[in-house]
Amino acid sequence: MNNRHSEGTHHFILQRLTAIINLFLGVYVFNFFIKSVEDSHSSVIEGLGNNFSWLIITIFTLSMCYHMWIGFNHILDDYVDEVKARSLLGNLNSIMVVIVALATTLSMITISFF
Amino acid sequence: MLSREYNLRMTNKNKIKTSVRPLSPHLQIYRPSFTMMMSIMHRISGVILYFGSFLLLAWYISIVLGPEVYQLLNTLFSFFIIKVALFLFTWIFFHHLFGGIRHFIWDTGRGFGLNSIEWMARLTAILSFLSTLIIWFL
Repeated sequence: MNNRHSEGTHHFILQRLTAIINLFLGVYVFNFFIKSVEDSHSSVIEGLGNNFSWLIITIFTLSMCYHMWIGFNHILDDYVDEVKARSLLGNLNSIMVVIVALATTLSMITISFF
Repeated sequence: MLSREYNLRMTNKNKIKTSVRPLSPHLQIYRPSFTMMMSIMHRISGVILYFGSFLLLAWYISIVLGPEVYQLLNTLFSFFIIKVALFLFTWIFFHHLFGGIRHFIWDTGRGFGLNSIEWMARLTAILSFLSTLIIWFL
């Protein structure tokens, strides 16, 4: 082990760091989603422009993605003992998280700048 | 004392296909309790939120794709059964949130007494439901 923190400690700290970000931004994003889910297209776009909502959603999503990547990997560690299945599902987890993070970021940038 | 074969498998676990790990007593062994359910719910809610993130993503993408696609998704969201699902999804989110706060309290070394564990579990259930109601109806 060459690192100052082992992988477990590293995940422990980052899981809590991202949790704090999710705690504050997540409530904002969920509130925004529930309140505007039946609004018209133009008013949702206007809402995304207010208070930098698009930026808050982007930061929340990136933090959330890292949080759920760690969480799902730990679930796989706990329940999937077979090494091959474990690594396959681990890779699927990474792909899924990257898709959500990238697609949300690109969507938010497209909505707010184009 | 552990058998020689067991020790060998444990020390050479990288060479065999399945990692042999010791098992602790689990679900079938313990009598179900409220705090145990809440602990399990924290993990289950995490998994639901994981897959639910696709729902939020679909909404964002529909906004990018324009009013027609957005309207299509909106029609879907207006069904009663989908509304109920969204309500439950919000509750799951707050359940995970307050469960997380519980973990933060435990991280400081406080709240490990049987009484406080029981009360924090109850508060998680109550506050998560109240927060969902506030976001939906206020």
